Amino acid sequence: MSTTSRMGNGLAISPEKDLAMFADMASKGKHLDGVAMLGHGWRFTDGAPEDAVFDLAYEGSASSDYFDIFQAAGWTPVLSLGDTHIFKAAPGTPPIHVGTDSRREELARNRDRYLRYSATTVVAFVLVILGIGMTSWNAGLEVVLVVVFYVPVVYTVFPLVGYWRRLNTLDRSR
Amino acid sequence: MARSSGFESGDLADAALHVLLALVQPRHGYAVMQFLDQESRGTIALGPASLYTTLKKLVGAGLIEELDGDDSRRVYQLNTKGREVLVSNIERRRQLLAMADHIMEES
Repeated sequence: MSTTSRMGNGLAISPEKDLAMFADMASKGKHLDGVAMLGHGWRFTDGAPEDAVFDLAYEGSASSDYFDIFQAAGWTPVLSLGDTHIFKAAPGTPPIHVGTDSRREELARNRDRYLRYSATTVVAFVLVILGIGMTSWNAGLEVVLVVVFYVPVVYTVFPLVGYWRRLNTLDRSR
Repeated sequence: MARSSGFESGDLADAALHVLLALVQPRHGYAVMQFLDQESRGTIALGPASLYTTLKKLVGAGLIEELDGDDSRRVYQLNTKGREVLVSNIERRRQLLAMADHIMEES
């Protein structure tokens, strides 16, 4: 089966761009079925062209009940990545979120979670930098340590900023 | 900033009130959505994420309960506290409508 990969825009930062891409790809017969590019992109498999809209919801303890409710509302589960669940539906299907309360709650939950993650990774990174400053280690080891402790900072702070921005945008629109 | 949707105070938003009304009889989550759609002839549309969040909050506030059963799907029903809150919310809306009628008649 032929597959295609596309770079993502950052689901935590601008999900609407990726959701629009999924719909565009589906209309060309390329259906989202996984992640690619080490989690930075999306993988699509070939199939029949489909007119569909996509949306996502966040739920940490998604049970079969959770997906039953979405199915009954016309939203078919496409892909779940941790607590992020991507759904598709026929155009015109009532939206996943009616009003802003449930969307706001999801974003606030994710913001708080990534705030904890970011605090941990930033503190660890700062400690490593301080440790390097206070001691004299092998230069190669220092570079490795900086990289190893910097990468988690990027992968926690960027989503945090994304969720925070989306939450602020949602609050301003209320 | 934390926002209260009235789950603790008992002053419920419309969506929570609709779900409580549907759970006067035991129902699965998805059956709540179908029931509200049928009873309201499509005027009450509760998105699946909104419904799931509302069900969790109502359980958390102690207004509905999950029933034991063989079915793998969760069945919810209003409990005594939930019924009291439902009745008081309906009464509050009745008073609001009476006030609105009175104001409109005098205008």
